[in-house]
Amino acid sequence: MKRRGIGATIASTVVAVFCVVAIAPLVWHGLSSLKTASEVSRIPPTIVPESPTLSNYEELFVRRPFGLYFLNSFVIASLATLLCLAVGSLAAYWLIRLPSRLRTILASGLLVLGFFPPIVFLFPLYELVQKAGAMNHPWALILPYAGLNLPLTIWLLAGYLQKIPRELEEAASIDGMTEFQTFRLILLPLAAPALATTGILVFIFCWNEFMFALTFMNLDSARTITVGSATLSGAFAYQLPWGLLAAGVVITALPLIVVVMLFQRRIVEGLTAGSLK
Amino acid sequence: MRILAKISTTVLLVVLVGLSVLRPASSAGSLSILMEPDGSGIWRELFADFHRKNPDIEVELVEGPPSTNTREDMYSTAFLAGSGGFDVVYGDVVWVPKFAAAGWLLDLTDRLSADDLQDFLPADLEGGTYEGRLYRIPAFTDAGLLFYRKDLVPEPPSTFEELRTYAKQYKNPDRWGFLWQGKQYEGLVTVFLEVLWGHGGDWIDPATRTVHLDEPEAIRALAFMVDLIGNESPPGVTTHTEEDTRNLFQSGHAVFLRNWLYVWRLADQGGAIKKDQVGFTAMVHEPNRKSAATLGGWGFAISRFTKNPEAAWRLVEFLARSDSLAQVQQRVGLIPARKSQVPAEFLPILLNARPRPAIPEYAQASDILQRSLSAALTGRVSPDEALREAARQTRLLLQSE
Amino acid sequence: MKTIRTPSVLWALPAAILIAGVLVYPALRALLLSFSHYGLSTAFETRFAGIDNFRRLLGDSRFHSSFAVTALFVAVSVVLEFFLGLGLALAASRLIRGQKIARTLLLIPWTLPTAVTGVLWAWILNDQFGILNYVLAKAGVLDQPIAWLAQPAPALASVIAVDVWKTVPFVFLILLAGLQSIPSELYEAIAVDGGGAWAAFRYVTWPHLVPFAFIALIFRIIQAFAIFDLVYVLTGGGPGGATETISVYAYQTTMRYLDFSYGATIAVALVAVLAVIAVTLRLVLREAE
Repeated sequence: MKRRGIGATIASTVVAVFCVVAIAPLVWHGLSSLKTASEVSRIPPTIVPESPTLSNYEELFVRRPFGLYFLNSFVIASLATLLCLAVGSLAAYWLIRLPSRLRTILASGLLVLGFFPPIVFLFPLYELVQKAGAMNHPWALILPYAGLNLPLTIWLLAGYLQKIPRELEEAASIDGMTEFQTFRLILLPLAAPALATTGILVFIFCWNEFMFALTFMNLDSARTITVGSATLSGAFAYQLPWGLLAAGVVITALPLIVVVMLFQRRIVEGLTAGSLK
Repeated sequence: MRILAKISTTVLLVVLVGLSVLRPASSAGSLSILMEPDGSGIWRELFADFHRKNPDIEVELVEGPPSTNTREDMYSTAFLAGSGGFDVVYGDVVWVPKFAAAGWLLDLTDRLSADDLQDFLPADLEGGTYEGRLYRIPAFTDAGLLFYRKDLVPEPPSTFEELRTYAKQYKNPDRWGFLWQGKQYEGLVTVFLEVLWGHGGDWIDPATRTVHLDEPEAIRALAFMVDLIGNESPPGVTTHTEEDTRNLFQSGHAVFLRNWLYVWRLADQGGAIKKDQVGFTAMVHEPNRKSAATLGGWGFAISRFTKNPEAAWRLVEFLARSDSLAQVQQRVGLIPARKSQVPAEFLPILLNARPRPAIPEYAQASDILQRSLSAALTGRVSPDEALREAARQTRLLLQSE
Repeated sequence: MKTIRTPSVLWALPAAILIAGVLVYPALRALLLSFSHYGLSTAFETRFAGIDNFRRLLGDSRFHSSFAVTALFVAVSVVLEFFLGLGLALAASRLIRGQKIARTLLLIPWTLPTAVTGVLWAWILNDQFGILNYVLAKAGVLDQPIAWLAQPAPALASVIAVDVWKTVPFVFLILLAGLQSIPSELYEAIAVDGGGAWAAFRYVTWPHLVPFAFIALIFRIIQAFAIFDLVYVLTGGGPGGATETISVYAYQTTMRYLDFSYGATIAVALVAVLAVIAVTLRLVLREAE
């Protein structure tokens, strides 16, 4: 619905205000990360850095292995996402071909499991990881992340796969393709948009996850970037190095901002997919 | 082109999986230790020195956050995991019962030489002991004591009444009477204990696990602290930690300050007050009771899960030596836990220092006490209610088997 | 010829294994733990406890307080998120240009890790160096800096505000999708009938939005009850437990006090609470239809 005049102006203003509120804190941290330690704790604070410096970023990579944190997060999030998509798409394919009563029951069960607060799973999973001697090992997070995201993944993928006309499958089977070949060569490529959307959401989840990463990774070399920047220590026993923390925030946020800019449409689709049904 | 895409995705996948599986093997002689932030760099220097003298042993210093509770939790999670955690523990005295009861520490009882056993302060050795076995070698000691403005107060007070009288007399709109740490954290417990013990009360008897919090002495002690607020102590005392109060005292805004030993060394640094204006004395007490100082301090222990116990012991031995401790003392002012190194003027207070109850559930008991104290100090409940509730919960805690 | 093949169960096997291992087994183990005594105080041996833990929970004032904090947090933040999200969605749906850039910018808070959001706001809310106090003082609103995170009420308000900042985008996007799915003919029909903006909202917009609003609400309520990251990083549950939510209490009990069975009990209680809420909401929705 389009209205000219004052309605549109108010609308634009409201949206603009929200946009400013949304990114101002990050911009502030961006500016602060370029300030020297003494400038950053000045009262009253300066807005624009007087002599911008990259020393905070340098110190970040020296004091803490942020490069390693980044790598860990990337490896864990990528593998968890790939695993989740692979396993989830197979399960989604199977799910939608079940008789409808069974399908509803399983789908509801999955949904319920997906809504459990993560704290419930924390200690039992911790026990498992400990018994397997897998503490500080990436797979201690990769497998749980994949599992935690399966309900959502199966739900989203099932929804999408269901819309693909069965005739395509029948045509393929007439052509002599096995079920798995049909799945791999016909259905998956068609489901690519849903895979991309789900994949991005799962990746973001894994990248941002905190509770499990905090508990299962206590060696610095094994840490993820989210835990690393949230637990940056201070150079002084009683005063926190805000410039350093700001740099940490910026470094952790940057990849995500890039992801948002590139995949904004997909993310939105993913979030709203459920509600549009 | 499609082949290229396929190959590169496969390579990427292989790399990812490879990275996820390959773990750098910890070398035979490597040790890791979690410490507080090493702002002055002294620990790094000491570890480098140790490595020079022991080239086959590498030490990884992990700088943790400033909060001792957080570092305790980091050690706990590492220990719960079993292997792959930290080899050497730099621990607060209150961690020992929990870590030892959980079976995480190596028994070091017969490792110290007779000379060392004589040299270390008895309270600190006791603080590293659990059920008769030694688990933590003392490094630095600490105790709470009373600092005061020598240039204002004619003679140091010895009772609570005298403290209050002087505080009232010498305070003015710009200068509070008595500063102490009232924020809800472990520091508050240490302050309360000194007042509590000075009144003849007690918290928990570790041997019998009896709770004494709801006895009249305890309630009187807490009532004393509550009464100070708004009169001799600022309302903001409930947000104060050690540094807050030290800064205020050193900029001339207090007559009396309860704090730890480290304040003495910093007394002449960057404040409006000169060192010759500052005096110190043991914490005050009731007329027919004794003065009490809460024992603080840090020491070294060894993880039961370490792959290099002998290397770990060499490191602990090295760090606990007089010369190593002296270097740290020089740089950051911590007081070594050796009689030979304690400044003579502090010896009486330190010999009198009392440890907190050595029970495995200490963390939770302390949290219960902290909450109740804080509720009373902020006026939400009366001291009586606060301590009764704390006693009730603590008894539940100590009985829940 | 069969039009529908039922694929062999092997397709679902990998997922089933993962789900069983990561979700089902841990949930059952947590339930089992809640009926046991296991932790530091039992020297890490497991003993049967019957309903002891639940009796303890009933008398546990710290649990009651964490429950109250969580409930208050959920109520206030979900309501705020909903109304702000709705307002924003209504405004954004009218944008002629710039929807894409608006959605990108607005999405950013939601994509950041909650833990990092905690660090981000911890500094802005710092009483001495934080930019918020400075801005408020300059605007003449404050004459003394507020210690946002050091006092109980401002700390809880801060946690709520930061959570709202982070999650409004989520509600906004869902409601926006809802708004955009409304056929414009319906609005034209109302306009033809002489109805104004309010009538349009009441008879066209809102009825269409209800299912979307419901989805957003239920997602948010369930997520909000489980909140951990933000509280842990921003306040640690303090000051004095004023911001300690159920998840944080459960985590402390498990990881700090090493009382594993009681920690599991608290978590199980949380699930029970959520179950009650979910069922209630569904009944309410059925009534509304």
